[in-house]
Amino acid sequence: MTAYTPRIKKSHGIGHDRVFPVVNAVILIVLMFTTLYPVINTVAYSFNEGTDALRGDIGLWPRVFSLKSYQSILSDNAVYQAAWISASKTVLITLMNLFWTSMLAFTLSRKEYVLRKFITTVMVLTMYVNAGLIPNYLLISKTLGLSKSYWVYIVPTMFSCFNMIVIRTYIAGLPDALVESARIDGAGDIRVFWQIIFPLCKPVLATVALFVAVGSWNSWFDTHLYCGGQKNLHSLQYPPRPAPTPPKPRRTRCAAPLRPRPSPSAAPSP
Amino acid sequence: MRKLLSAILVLAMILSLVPMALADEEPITLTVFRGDPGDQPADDNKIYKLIEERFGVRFEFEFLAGDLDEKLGMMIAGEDYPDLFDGGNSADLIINNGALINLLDYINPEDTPRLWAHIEPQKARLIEKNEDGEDVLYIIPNYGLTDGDQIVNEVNGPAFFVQKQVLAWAGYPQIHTLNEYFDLLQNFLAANPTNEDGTPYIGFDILCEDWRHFCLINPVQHLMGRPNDGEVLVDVNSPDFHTETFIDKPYAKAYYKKLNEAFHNGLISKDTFVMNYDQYIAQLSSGIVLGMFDQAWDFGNATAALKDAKMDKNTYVALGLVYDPEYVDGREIEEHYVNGSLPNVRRGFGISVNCQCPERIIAMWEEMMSDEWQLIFNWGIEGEDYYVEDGRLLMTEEQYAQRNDSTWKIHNRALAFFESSPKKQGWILEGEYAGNCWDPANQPEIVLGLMNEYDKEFLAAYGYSKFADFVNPPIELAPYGEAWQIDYTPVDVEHQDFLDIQDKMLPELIMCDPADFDALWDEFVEKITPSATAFGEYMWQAVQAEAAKVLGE
Amino acid sequence: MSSIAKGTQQNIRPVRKKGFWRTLGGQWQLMLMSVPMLLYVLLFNYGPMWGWITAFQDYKPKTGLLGSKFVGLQNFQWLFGREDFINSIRNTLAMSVINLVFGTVSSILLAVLLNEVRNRGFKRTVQTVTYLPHFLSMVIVVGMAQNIFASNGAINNLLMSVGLVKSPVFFLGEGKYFWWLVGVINVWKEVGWNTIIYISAMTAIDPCLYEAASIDGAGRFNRILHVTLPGIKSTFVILLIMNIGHLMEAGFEIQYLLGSSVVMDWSQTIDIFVLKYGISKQQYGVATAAGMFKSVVAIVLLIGANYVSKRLGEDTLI
Repeated sequence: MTAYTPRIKKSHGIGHDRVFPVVNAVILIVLMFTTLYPVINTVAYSFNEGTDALRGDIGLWPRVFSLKSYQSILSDNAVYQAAWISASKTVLITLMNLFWTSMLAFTLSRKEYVLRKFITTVMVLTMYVNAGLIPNYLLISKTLGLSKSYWVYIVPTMFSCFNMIVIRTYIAGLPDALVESARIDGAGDIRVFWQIIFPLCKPVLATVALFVAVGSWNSWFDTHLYCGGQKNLHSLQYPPRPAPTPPKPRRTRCAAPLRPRPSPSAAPSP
Repeated sequence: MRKLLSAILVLAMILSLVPMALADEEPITLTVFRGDPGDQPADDNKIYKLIEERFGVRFEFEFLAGDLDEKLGMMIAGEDYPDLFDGGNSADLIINNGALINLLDYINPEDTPRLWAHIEPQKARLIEKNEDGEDVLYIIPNYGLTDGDQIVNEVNGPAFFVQKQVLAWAGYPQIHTLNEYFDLLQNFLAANPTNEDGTPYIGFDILCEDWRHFCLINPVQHLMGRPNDGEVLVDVNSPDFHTETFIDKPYAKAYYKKLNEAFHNGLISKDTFVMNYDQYIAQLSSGIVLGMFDQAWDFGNATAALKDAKMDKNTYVALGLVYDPEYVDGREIEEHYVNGSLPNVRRGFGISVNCQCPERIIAMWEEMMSDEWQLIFNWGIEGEDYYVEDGRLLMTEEQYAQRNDSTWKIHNRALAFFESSPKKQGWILEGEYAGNCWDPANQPEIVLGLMNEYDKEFLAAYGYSKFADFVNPPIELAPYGEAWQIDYTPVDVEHQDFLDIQDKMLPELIMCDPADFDALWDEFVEKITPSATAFGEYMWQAVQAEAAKVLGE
Repeated sequence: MSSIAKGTQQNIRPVRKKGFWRTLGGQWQLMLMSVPMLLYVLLFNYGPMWGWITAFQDYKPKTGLLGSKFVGLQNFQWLFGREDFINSIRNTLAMSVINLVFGTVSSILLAVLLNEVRNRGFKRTVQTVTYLPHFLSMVIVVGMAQNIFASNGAINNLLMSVGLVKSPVFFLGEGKYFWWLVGVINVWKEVGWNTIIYISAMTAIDPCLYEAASIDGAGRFNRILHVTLPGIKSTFVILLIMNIGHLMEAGFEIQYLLGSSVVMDWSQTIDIFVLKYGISKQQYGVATAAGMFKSVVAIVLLIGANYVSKRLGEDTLI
């Protein structure tokens, strides 16, 4: 985090080509350290004994080494099922997205397409209007009957406008002559897309695939909404730990214990 | 022809009887929602296997992940209710939306004697009237219906806590008032600014994070000699149960002035107002916090960590402090921290209107209230999880220790189901194990066996037998119960404002220049009065209504 | 390159004279490729929009849309009558602007620096490692930030030892620092991840342009200024327009975790306000009203940014 200010100054002040690569490398290495530390720290915590970890203050290495957290996760077969769900839905969603999104992006990059402006507007607005949770829930769960099924992971997430725009911007940067000459050869739009544009989009498709795959792999909210009770449909990220929004008991009950907990004396002495 | 006809009729009758006869045994899967986070049981869990063998019932559990009200709102909108429904902190929401069935349609002295006997002693509190004036019971409390004398080995609720070493250092004094407490902390800190490693001690911590701000805003009522009523003070001696918010009253000012003084004496750190729960637990677990106001269950993790690290002198004792007479016009206040037992009203499983087989669940619960099943849920399987010697239920140290192991629990305990189900608590009153405790954590032999040498010597120095002896024995509750349990949805918004002003301004008051304190206090009172009045007046009516309900029966 | 592109654009502009329907008929292949997705978003994104009606209702999930009482503009009046809602709009905008400016600048800067690295292995390593914080949960990130910025944390120790301050700065407890702390954490967490899109755009830059610039005697700085940055300009502009539309979204997680009651006046965003007073107080209508307000402002901002961009002769989103 602290690397910012110096970097701005230095990158502007350097004119010598021999100094720059060194300075650049130093900046990047410092940045790498600041981003690597928390990750290693998290890993160190996961290998630390649970009760001891409560005391905090663990750096890059566990204080009391323990494989307990991993044993606990791996002791139930459910984790393998969850891994399968996570992996398969990620692959499916990514493929779906690449296909639909790039195809639409191509059509919306064609300036001669008369529906271009209309469809683009409709698509772009989806990023900014949100009907709220309950109507969405009722649509997917009641109208479409997708809850408690594997397809609830796939069907509602086949398309993302943001990614479409990213691909469209990329396609717009390609020389138009490519499309032109194919047209002259008599190729239809589908063929132009499939045989010429799609292969050229590889770099941006890789980027989009990364976005989609990571998003899908990390998602837990869909499980929470639609499949929380179906243990065999749980993904690896569900339930999220630590919870992204810590459970907030309603203020109604804040003033006292939710229920009697085992008294502290119940803790075994080692 | 006739023969054929009658043969067909007989056949039809037999066929129609077959499914009926099988219905009871037909395996079913019950969907279960728990309004709190928890661990899914493993597929090979031994207790759930037993339940499946005996009752033909399997469970599909869903635990809360994310926001409870949001989740419940969607379940209500879609009428997607599970069979067994524990609405957690927002049970009022599902009840008010008609998601639960009236259990009194199934529970009565004839058909379900055990369940009836379980709720009967507290039925005045449990059974409510619906809009049509009918008696209704939606939820059998998950906790608080106890048998026999109340077991209080240790304070589990609110108190002022202090490290044992502080009392030992001061020669085991009796600490009963606010001034005595802060003088003790002050003196210890002056003599021992750091621990053996050189880490500075923190005199007094105040956790303010989100709903745990009760550490900041609740103490005044206890100093006034009242148990936990949430954010109001009830005068039980007045005929109309006079109820008021306490935070805006002159007697509250004394406490925050004391904290302001302590802050400037270096007992309280600024960071305490911005720390989160994990950091608080980390501080407590490191043994550097000398004292705090909290509820013991809130920092049970830290106590366990301290014991694990053999830092017994850094564990805490609960003290029942009251105001010194100088703060309350010379009155002597009697301390009241520990309550008589009270059912956890509207907490636990209800059966939803979507459930196809409520009578089967009731029949299962009825059977599960038997000694056999209560022992299985509480103690486990004899020979594996506990042993019996001369009629006493006992555990080896190893058997007891594994009960805290999360991996062991998901394979060997049915907590996901049992925690929210009706259960027996307290003493086993009859049968071959009479005189034992339902919960192993209360069993005298186990409690004694777990007590370490340091604690034994510490108690001996005071001449006490248990840590609960530091406070008064449980005092029977007033008819209205505990005011924090009262639903105040109608004044929700005012209440939020009421809390927000406290959350914002109390830390300011504690940190401000002592010369500005009085002026800032007046500003605080002025700002909070509108919302405090609205909330206080609502609560007064609600307390009266609750008391009338219980007294009227 | 841009001049070539502009030239060809002119040639393939739709020929208006031909008539709309005939042109459309001739474009059936484009329609085949785009209309399914149009129907898809109409169903999944616009289908639930009936929910906006609840902004004018005292909506109860049990009675639903048809059974709930209409209250006119009461929900909006309630919202705008509250000082803390107005405050939360201010906080939301402030934090998103900080986030947008510093997030964009830092990720472009990092992308440029990475682009200058010649050693492919090193470049890959830096890229991968700087992505990592994106995957960390906010709970962990904020927990670490709280330790670093505490009175006895690393930053205060540093400031004290250098002699910049005499007593620790109360970073976490004073409102004036809060927005900037959120900015710092957000930038740090997402800077690596946000470079992905710029680096992907840089791969599309024709290497000949760098060579030509070198031959013309341009130094490294000039090459960056005249080749790299123009090469990612359209990506930058498009993202900027999109993000300006998102200014009403500052999130709630980081503010919820990092904020405490003492900085409440600076930490509460619209989303936190809605969580607090909307769903958890069963004021569903209020929650929808706030969401609707956000959407309307977002669309206005978006159209404005798009218009300005068009006026300046830059790329447009729509």
